[in-house]
Amino acid sequence: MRRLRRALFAALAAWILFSPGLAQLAGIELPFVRPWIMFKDVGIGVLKGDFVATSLNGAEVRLTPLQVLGRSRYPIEAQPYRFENRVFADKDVKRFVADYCARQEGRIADLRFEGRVGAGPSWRPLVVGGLCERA
Amino acid sequence: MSEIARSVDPLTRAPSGSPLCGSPPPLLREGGKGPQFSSPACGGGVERSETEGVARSALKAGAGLIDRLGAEIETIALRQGSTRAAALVRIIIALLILAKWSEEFALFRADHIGLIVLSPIYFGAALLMLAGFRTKAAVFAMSLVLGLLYFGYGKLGGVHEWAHHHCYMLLAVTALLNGAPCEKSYSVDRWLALRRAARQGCDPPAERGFTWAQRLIVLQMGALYFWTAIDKTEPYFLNGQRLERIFEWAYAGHPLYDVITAPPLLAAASCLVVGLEYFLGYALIAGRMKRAAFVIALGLHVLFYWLLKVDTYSATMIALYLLYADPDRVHRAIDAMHGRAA
Repeated sequence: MRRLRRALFAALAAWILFSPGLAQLAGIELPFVRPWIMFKDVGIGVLKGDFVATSLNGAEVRLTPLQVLGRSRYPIEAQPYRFENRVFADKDVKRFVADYCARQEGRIADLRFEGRVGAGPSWRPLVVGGLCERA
Repeated sequence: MSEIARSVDPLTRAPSGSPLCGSPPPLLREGGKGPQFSSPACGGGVERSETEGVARSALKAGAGLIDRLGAEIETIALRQGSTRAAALVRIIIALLILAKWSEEFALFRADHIGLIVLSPIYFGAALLMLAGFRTKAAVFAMSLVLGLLYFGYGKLGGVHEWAHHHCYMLLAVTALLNGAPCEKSYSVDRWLALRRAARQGCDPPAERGFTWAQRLIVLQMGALYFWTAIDKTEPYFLNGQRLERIFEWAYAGHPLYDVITAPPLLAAASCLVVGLEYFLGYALIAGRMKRAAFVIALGLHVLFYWLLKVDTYSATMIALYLLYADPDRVHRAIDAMHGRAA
């Protein structure tokens, strides 16, 4: 019993201390190995910057992504990966602004975005125009 | 570990002369059965003797290290102490599990056959674990339920909310509590044992047991800090950009957005968090600088709770620091709080 307890302790201690290295250093992802990567994906697909709406007479108005969505905050009570307006590719920006463009139809000449989007380990620059143009 | 090794419980103290008492490791004893080295005078010249000298030193150091490690494992695995800290953790973890999953398991929400079946097992195990009645069986059943939630639903079934790090910590701690005598204090089981002892005219059962599982929980906490610090030791975290992304999600539209997302503040906070996590990883795994670790960890986890949506994570980690303290010290502190002499 003494030996068993000692062996069990040593095995569990080694597993607890070193198993995360399998995923985090060797890149071996197994369902029963817990890598201690926390909050790493939070903010992926989130826009940071300004939308620039050009009116029919040429005046420009700068809007935050939240203003374009018509929200005061992101839905922080839910998990970030459940947010349906995340931007992974440039075409996703059109989906992001679809409701805004529908509301502003006939009142703006152009809508473009100038800023960054959460991608990979950090951000990626994102400048895209003609967002309200119909395909 | 060495602090624990120094404070060997009298019940498990090894006899004088054993490896636990600091005698030379067997491999290094004179005349022992350890490796034999030829003398430089026996041939090979100066170069060979130098090589042999280095090899001998390395072998001695390696053997000494393995021996010390074995002795430490022996000490920790067989150490006994008060069961009050483990019992308090059992109660707090049961409450956190109830806080985390009860709504999902309430019958009006559980509309999937698996959840309907699991629902009474979940509530039964959680409440028994909380009360400490049939504690061993309750903790075991709860470990199975949490394992199913994390691995089955979370990892394989795509319910990502149940595969988060805070869920894993609740699972890991509950699973490890199976090895802790957490039923011996603050439980209905203890109350029944006391009544039985009184009926039979025996002394009250001691609130003591093996503490190896508690030590494993502390190692789990240390590993968490260490590996998360490893993950964050990269330019994009240290320059504040990863934190900026997290705060963009959490604070966009907030009145304090401009202050909280100021780049110099984010970079400084990122570096500080990584530094503190390395420190806590070291302090918990090595069992050193406990007072500083308590204060820093409390501050850090309260800050996480205040700034971000961390669910049960901070509360779990703060509660687990009860196990980082010496179990007998926790026992004496509780006695002192009740006005009883230690």
